[in-house]
Amino acid sequence: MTIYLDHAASTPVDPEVAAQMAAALADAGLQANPSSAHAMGEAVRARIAQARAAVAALIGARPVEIVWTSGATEANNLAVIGAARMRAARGRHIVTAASEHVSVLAACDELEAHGFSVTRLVTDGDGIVAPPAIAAALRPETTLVSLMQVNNETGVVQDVAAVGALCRERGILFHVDACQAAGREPIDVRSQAVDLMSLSAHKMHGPKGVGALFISRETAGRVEPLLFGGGQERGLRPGTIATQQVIGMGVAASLAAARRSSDSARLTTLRDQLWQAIGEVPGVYLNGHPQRRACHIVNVSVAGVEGESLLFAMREVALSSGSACAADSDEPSAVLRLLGRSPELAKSALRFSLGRTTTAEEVVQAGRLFAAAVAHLRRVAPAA
Amino acid sequence: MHYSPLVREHFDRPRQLGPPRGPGPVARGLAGSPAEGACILIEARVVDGRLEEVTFRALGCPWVIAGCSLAVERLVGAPVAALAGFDPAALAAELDLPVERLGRLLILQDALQNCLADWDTTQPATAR
Repeated sequence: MTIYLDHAASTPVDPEVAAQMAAALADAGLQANPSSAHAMGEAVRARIAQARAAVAALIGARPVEIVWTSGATEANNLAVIGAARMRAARGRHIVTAASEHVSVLAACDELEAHGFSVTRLVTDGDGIVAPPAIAAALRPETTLVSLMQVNNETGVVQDVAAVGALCRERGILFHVDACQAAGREPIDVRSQAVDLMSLSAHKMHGPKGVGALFISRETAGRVEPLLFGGGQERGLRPGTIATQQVIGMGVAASLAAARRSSDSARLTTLRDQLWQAIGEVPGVYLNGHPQRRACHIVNVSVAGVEGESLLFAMREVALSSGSACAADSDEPSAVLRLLGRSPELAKSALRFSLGRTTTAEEVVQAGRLFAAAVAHLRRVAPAA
Repeated sequence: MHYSPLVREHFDRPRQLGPPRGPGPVARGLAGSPAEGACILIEARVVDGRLEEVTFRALGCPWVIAGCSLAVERLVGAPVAALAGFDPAALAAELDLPVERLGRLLILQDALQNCLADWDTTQPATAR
């Protein structure tokens, strides 16, 4: 039986989520279009409103501030491109970090191709983007700062509240990709001064194919849609709402909010046990800040082995060598190169990511398999 | 990534890991680097013009390790000149290697050829 330690790529759907989605799919009363004016449409709208309230509660938002999307990529695109375009008359400069998810970086590339200017800040050797570095990058024409709360490869946690405060002082919109943070780190869009926040259901034990963008009430009207059609989601995201997916995300958000403290405490213990086991192997380096890290990710580089072979030697464990979104690439992780890792060490990285279903026994077994895999590959490799 | 049963077998149980254990002169051929995606060391012990023992060490992807293991296993007993006869394309087909990885087997070819060159330059003519 494969040990699943790839929760940063996708989490298993919680049984409660699956049960409620299955019931919703089978419920004849929920088959109507939620935009329809009749009573059946109203019943669907009521369930969607319930889900919207649950997602809003997870991040300290109001339900009206949640816009459904097809996932985090769309949410990140809508936030970055939509906000930048709408404010183009005021300024055409965006600040982000070079360690952001590819869906933010690619959206910035797209803006750059159309005359915008983008500053991509490099992290320090621990993966941190210091708020003073962001403050120094801001210009009078800066309209948006985009920064992820928890890095998807290293698990490093950024000080979003400090960045939010300095953006708010200057009237600059602040977008946070919180996909890895939701259900694991405290999130409160008000105290963190966040204007836009991306969420993904399948990163928090919900279904794939649905996400959300928080757009603060004050920001509404300052984001341009990317899609055009009906007036759903206040015109920001037209298209028939995916009722059952949204219901699933709502249940996942409720569970994430209710279980965040206990899940986080348990995963922190397991994460530390895992690092203790794999860190005992000589030539293993922890990637990212040793303390400022989320509860579910341990990213390591291993000297003297090749990353793909390490993954294959550990095939009883489902792992990623970096972001699953870049798994087809032969290039070393840009995020790890920013930490100062050599191309060889960046290519030998493994990301262990834990989740609600991870057990202590699995962590112990993964540690043993890791040590055996590294020993096997070093036995095969030429002497350094 | 999909790896064939043959790749799995030789990756998990690589044959003839170096160095050679028997007595006598050994030729060495090194090629590649970690930055190139593979680093391969081939060592051959030659007796009476034949490859008595051929071993490898490799840092690389599963195809590199399996390819080295298969190649050295097949060279045992062959004339020393067989080190120059390695056919990367044939082994690539046998391993079901993705075309974009063919370069990794060219590094193996270089290591085998470097091993032969080492033998030719370091051994007295009488030993060849």
